Amino acid sequence: MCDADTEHKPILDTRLERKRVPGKCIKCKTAKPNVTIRGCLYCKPCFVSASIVKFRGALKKSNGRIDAQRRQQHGVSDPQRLMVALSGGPSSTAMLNLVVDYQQSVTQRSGDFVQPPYADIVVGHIDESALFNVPEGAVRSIADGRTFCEASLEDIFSASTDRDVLLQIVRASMASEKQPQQQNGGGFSAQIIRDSDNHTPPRERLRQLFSALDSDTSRESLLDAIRTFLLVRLARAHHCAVLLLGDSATRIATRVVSLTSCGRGFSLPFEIASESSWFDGVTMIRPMRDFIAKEVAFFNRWAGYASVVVPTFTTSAPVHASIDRLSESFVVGLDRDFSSTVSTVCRTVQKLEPRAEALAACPCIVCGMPAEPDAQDWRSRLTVGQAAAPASSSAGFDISSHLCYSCQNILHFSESGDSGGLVLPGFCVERIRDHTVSRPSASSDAEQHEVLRRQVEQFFLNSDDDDDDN
Amino acid sequence: MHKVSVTLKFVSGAELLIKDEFRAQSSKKSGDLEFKHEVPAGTENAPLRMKELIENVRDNLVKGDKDQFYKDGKLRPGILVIINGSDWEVEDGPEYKVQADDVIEFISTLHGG
Repeated sequence: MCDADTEHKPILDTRLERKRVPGKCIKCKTAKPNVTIRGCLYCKPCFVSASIVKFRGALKKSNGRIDAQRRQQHGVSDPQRLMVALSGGPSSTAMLNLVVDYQQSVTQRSGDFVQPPYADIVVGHIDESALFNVPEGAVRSIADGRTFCEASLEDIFSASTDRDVLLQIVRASMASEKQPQQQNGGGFSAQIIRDSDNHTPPRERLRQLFSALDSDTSRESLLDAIRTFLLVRLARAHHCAVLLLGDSATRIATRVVSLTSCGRGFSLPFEIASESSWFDGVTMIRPMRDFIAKEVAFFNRWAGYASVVVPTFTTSAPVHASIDRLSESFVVGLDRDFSSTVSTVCRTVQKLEPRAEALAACPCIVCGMPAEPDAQDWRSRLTVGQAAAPASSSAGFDISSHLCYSCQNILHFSESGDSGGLVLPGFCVERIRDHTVSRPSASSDAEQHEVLRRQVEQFFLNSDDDDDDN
Repeated sequence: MHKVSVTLKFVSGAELLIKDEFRAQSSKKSGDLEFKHEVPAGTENAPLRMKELIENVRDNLVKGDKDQFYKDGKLRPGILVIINGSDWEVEDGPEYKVQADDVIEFISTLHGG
């Protein structure tokens, strides 16, 4: 399998060579086919080697673009450390095995020393056992002895890894409030609290956060945001400049529909891009982007790679359980009846370029994706909302401009618990701090900006000034 | 009535759709399900096809909401069928005539199973 590249014979570009033999594999034209992909028949060995070639093609293309960018910026492009994000599901399992196989095939070529494509390949995994039942050790065994770096969802609330500050939502209402008598006007306000005020274990806090959300759509969005934050942090902590994500073509097409429906159109180009450098110091690549879910399933089966079922909030739930579930059902249903739907959608959206405005935008403090500057004003022109109830406390500061449209929705529909509003993890406070320090506000609200900066800073006065997390 | 015995496998999340009582019959220790199942054989004029086998699975094996497995006369999109190691789409799909001792595998490719 390792030498699929070298075995790949040059294709004679003649009509005769390209002609299909009815009822036979499209590649070797002699064997009985075992699978059909987008109307093409493949036998088992040809399918496996075609998959390897396709993966390497996508990965090399992304590597080439990243290297060109690095050469432009730094003058050099040495092999970098690579982190493979492994959930344990079929797509990331196939990806890990394919990239390891690629690295080995390059270094094991006979004779001369060949520089490997990557300095090292490590596995990054986010443990979601705080929310779901996952068989213990199953994912670690997929990593097969490679360096296994792990973070848990509840780490976002543990003081040992984050500063002991939290962000409590005081008011979250989409209704626009422009009444002059309200000093802290705006629909979304929050206050910074210290973790030591309340001794809730991190796991419990995480569960409280998710149970306060109104729908599985919101829960899935927030889970995505936390997972991305942890993966980026894990990659940085292990000095990996490249992070491989296992989104398959089916997953990307599904996300196009679900992210758009959730109001994430502004950040969509970053979230489905073949390569994205939105997060400082970590470039994300999606090398499985040309594989539909069916190809992944057959590849794993025939290459002998076992994966696990990674549960989500809507596992075993009806199709209407969440926007993501319904989008998946729509996309997969279309693809069954019109076999190239997924590839067509993926190829189309990969042409999307982020707008200059999005590249310059501040990251949303919850999801970390670019937040459209005037999401709140834009909404107030479109939405008929109820007037917000007066805030119970006036201690909060306005965070509307730090939230993207979609995260505003999530917060608006969440319930505040008995002990006050929703409590968001410390990284939200870090992000507010980054905004206030690094991005001076427009002159019109410079005063308000300065007040906020001082409020945030006082919580950090006694903290160690270690590296910031995005 | 004459019956045909086939081996059924449910993997990658498809096993979540099957009634718990079949877990005891499974020869696999992991989450995957694999067991023998008997279905009424068809007649000479109307042999047992995959379509009937899938309807039999839906009626007897699938728990809860049957639409999650089979809806509007079709298997739910996202569930793959493998007959004796090959994609069922190269084997006539729902029209495939089921033989004794066939190994039929259901794989879910849906996110989260």
